[in-house]
Amino acid sequence: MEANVNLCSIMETSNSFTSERASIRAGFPVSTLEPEQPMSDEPITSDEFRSEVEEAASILRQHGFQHIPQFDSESPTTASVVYVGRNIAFTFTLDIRDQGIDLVVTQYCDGKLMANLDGGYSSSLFTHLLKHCGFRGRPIPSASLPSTASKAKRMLSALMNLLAQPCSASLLADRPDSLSQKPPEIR
Amino acid sequence: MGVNSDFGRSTFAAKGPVIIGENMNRVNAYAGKVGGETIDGWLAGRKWTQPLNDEFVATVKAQERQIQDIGPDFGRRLQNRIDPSLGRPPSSVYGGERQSLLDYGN
Repeated sequence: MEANVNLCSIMETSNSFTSERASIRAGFPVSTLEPEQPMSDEPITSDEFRSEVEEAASILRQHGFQHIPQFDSESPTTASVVYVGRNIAFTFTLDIRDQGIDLVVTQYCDGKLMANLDGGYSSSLFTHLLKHCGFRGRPIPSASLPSTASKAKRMLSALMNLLAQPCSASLLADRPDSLSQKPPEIR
Repeated sequence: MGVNSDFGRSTFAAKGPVIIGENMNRVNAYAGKVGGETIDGWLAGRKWTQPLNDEFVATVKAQERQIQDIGPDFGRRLQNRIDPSLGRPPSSVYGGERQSLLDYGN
């Protein structure tokens, strides 16, 4: 029995050594390799969504936007978390039926959210950047996310990376004219 | 299922048009503006499930309610086409609703 245990430990050491060699050949330090597991695609609940948003929204807090729970909403099919500044609000939305997460930029005026239907302005952040800020890239999740990160976490990370793009600077500046930016001229 | 069927009906029956569409955030926002109702009102606090969604559509048809379909969320679909990590592909839930209502006149 003891011989078997020793044999097993030798095999483990050997396997570990082999994988270490392979990772070195591949150019990755051993400590940064993640186990090969599929990305988690479990449905996210509204509570988990709120928790993930709280974690992801640090860039908004750094620019002076505050989470105002009184604007948040919750229903059997949706949840939203709202961060407001002086002139602009960012609303994280979850569509529970389709597990869709989005970030909507909305005009904020006199303590009220002024969406399109209220005579103000609101748009998905991605669409706003495409239409009005000349963005032509792709939202990319943070490279530091492990491959096992949930789909929700990856979506939020990609959205936060959109905010880190230079074309988002005017939104984060939170000026009264931040939402009236004209699309760049095509020459 | 049978017990749940009457849940929410008393408050659901007497109001405006029933609003459906892709992306419940859009659907609820529009319903709020036009005085319409959505599956949220019918669910009356119950957790959403696909069988309950099917039952909701059946109830709406049985009550011969007027339905307003605000259509697909093309922006969300476009995002997903550009990058699959964002947006969503066409919703199977909304697609199922459309399918169930193909022969519905209201």
